[in-house]
Amino acid sequence: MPSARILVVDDDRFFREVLSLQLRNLGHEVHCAEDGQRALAELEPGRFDVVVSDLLMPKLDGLALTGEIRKRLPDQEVILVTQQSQVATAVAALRAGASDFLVKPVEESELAERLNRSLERVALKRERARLLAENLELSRDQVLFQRSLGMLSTLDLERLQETSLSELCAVCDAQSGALWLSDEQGELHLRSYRGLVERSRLEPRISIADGLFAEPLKSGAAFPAPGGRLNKGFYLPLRAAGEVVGLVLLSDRLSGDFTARELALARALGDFAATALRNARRYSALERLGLRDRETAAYNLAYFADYAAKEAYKARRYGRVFSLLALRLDGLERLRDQLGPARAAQLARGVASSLAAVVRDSDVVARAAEDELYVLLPETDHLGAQIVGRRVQAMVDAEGLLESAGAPAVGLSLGSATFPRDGQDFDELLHVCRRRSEEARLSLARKLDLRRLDFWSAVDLLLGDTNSPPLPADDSAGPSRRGLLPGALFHQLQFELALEVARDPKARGLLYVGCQEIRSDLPVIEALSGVPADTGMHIYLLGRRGEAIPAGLATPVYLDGDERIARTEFVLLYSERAAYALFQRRQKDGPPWGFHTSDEAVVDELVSKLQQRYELQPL
Amino acid sequence: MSRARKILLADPDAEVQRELARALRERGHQVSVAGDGSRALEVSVLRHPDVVLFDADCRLVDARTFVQILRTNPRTEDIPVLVTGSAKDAERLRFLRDGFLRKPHSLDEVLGRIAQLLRRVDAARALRSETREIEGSLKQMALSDLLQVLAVNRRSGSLSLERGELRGEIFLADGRPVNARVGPVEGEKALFRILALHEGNFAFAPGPYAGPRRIDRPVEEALLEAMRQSDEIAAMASSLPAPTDRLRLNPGAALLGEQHPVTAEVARLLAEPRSTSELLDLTSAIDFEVMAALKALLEKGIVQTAPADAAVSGPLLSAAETHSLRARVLRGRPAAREAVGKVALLSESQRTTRAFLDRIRTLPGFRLQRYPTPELLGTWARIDLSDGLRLELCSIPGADVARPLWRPFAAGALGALALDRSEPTVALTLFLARECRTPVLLAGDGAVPAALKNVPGLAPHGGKPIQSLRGLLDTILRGGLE
Repeated sequence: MPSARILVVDDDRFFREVLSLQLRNLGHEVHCAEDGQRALAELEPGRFDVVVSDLLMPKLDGLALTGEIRKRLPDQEVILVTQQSQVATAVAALRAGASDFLVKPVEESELAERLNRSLERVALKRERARLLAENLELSRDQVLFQRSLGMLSTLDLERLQETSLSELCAVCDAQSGALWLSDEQGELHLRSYRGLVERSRLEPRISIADGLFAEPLKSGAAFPAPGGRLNKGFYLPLRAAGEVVGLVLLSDRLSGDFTARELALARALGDFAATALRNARRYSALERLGLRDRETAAYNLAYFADYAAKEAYKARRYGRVFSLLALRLDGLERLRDQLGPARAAQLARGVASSLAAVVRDSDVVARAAEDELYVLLPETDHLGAQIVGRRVQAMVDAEGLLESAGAPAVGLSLGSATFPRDGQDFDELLHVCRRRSEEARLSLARKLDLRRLDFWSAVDLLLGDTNSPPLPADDSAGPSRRGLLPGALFHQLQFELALEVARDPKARGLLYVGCQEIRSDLPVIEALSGVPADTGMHIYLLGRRGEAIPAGLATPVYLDGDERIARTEFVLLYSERAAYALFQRRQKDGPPWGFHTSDEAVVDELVSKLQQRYELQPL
Repeated sequence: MSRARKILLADPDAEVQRELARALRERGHQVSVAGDGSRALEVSVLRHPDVVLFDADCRLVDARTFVQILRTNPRTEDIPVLVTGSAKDAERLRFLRDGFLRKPHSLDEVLGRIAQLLRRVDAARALRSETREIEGSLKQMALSDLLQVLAVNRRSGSLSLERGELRGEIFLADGRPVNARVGPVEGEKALFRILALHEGNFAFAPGPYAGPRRIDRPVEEALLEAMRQSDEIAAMASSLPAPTDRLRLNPGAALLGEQHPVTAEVARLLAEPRSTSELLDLTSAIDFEVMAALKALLEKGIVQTAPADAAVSGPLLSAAETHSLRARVLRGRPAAREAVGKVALLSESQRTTRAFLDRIRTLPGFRLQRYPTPELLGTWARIDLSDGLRLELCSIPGADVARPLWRPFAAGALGALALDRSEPTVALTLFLARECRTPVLLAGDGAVPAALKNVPGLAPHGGKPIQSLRGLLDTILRGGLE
């Protein structure tokens, strides 16, 4: 019989020593305690195989001690020893949870037999516990395998991003996680995050080939966050077929640190996630191919609407922006009636292919009707959408698509809408988009054909003088006004526009202020003091050289001897929020004569003409 | 630009190189040149320039590789590289951190961009060397000592002081005070008002001062003058009205004879009743002179006082509401240190707008920036709701001639309060609610005009100004939760 560890509890020193002696003779390791309290203090899980305790003790007696032990260590074997053999005591002892019962004086053979039975029970319990643990591990592996299969069978990329991250978090008890996925350009983009992480502290983009993450991404093993420890939080590269598919960050374990086993589990599950993500991406690429319109290689509107709804969901969840751009061919109907459907289709195809040449890989083009095309531009703000629109226009002009002799005139009207600025869902955005393209059609820029003029001719035409006929302006296209302006307006406008920049320094845009002399007490400079230099708004001051202005706030463009600028003051604002232009000429007496507008197409034309005229950088 | 900088020009076109190099040398910079990418790399490592201008046409090492090599070397990783090239290159080079310049470029713009990059390098260095702001209490260090220390060390920057609702700033250039600001007041008037402070907290933020110079007085002189004024004000304190007391001209009394210009200004401003603090803000003379004139007018019985009616009110929003309003302001933007929300005040009259601002003056954190002007285009006041959130109250003019201004200035507004029911206000209200989907609250009394019935996003509210503002914020918050 193997040696066991036994705790003997008895207040009587004589009996304690007799019992210890007997037990040691039987070859066991013995530890003694004088009373119940001390015995409890000694007990720890697994320290003693059996407790042998006297029934009658001061303070905490045998029955109470047994009760306490049951509460703390339910599996502990306890044998009670008492003076007299009474059925009632025996029953009470067994009811309290003792596993056996001995009567003093204790005979050695009796003791050995009872003890052996107890020890057998201990051995059985241990065996059972071990089998249970093995079983649990097996079933855990099986659950992991099931989850992996579940991921592999999902082809919806959006859902997969969420599920794979939540599975990875679950498998290692991480409370927080983030997932980046690679794009065609070799960059990882943040796609999903959950738990306690703060989005602003996560890198939105990570380069795969260079930078901090290049080396660990290549190796494929989990690595800690810079300056952190692996078992507090770690990055796990997702690799499939030798390429980096994504990167996962897992951190904030429920309690304590991550264990080596959890790291291994995460890695195993990560391999499945990588393969699943790669498959889903291939599937969506294939799906897109199948939904294209044969004639123009654009998607059909149903797919587009579906895609845009998903994009809106993503943008809302991750605080991103995207834009819709609408292109309408005005007058295509008439062309079709006069020259036949073949010519109309040819023209529409030409415009669609110009569009295809301009857009990026991630943009989605759809065709609603022959004369109506839509583009979805992910991660693009209003200005970005305008720039794409301008490029399409330039491309169409360069190809000479809209001009053909003897044919009725066809015009291209562009309109864009941006999430979340212009609307919260696809229908709203589509509505705004259509309205804007209608505004473009009604715009003063189209009516006056500003495109053919240079900057100052366009300004002269818009400003006119007191004898000019009223402008053919339409308020629904963005109102324009011409006439006498309040004298202080130019000053206050500069100040207020600069304050708008200070209120939202990240808003992107261009602001040009044309003044007679560039000085440091211009209202725009004054309002900007205290604003950090790296605003999203590029501010230019144009005029004669006066005193030096502080560096960094605005770019001065010195135009000494340019008599046009000396006569005309102006403000041109073109930002992701709004477009506005004001021109004015001071008169000898009385308020200045001016023109101002928030017609976006007019402002757009003027800004690009100004950039050409003075060789200024586009945004 | 104070310090000579090393600038490297890498451009295969000798003509461009010569022209730029000359312009930069004229501005006192040291210029090195390189004709190809490999030479540029060598110079960058050996001479460690402050800025590199790299043309995309450089051979041997292309722009992308050049930037990558600099970034991987810890010695050169912080050198900003500005790449120049044709519009075609712009597409390819979108990854650039420090920007791209399309050729042909305006020389002024190139210089401007370089100045901006240098400023950024300086800012990064300053941050690294941990030039911390100086902060403390005026109890530990008197304002006069503080200014003298800054003057001796010829420091530039802004010294802001705060005591209760009063917050002011003194701007220093080379140790001399060049401007000061307290709410709507600027220049010497503000300086003397700040110098009268003996308690409160101060903070000094170093940096160049960019704004206009409105003060031309050495520190010692200003301090002496401030001391003299504060003694005299203390002497007449007992006969001066409290800041919130309302002042008006006695209708029975007549002003006679030639008056001192300050007295004339005070009398003109008091043609309509104003509080003492408003009068002090509006006059152009320094506070001390205004008080002296006011004292004389009170003694002669030309001006009368009436006690203030307004009671101090509690905070506008609870902490939780402030937090969710901040989230609403920052929606779609990276988290900034301070979020600023704009609330538009719609009215055709300068007087209505002024009266509205006057009646919400008791709000904690309220600060008047300037008084409404007749054009009604401007930011008049701010309300600091918490460290991270501030509201600014602005006017948008409703007149038809100003119509093109509606869109650009409505674009950033959280909401608007219509203060009257005039035709222009109604038109602007309709525009905001319909086209911009901005919540508008019809503040003050008066029925809802027919044109505004059944317009979504519009709510009538007949309460007091503070309650209307609170009501508008409620509407905005409710909209934000959807």
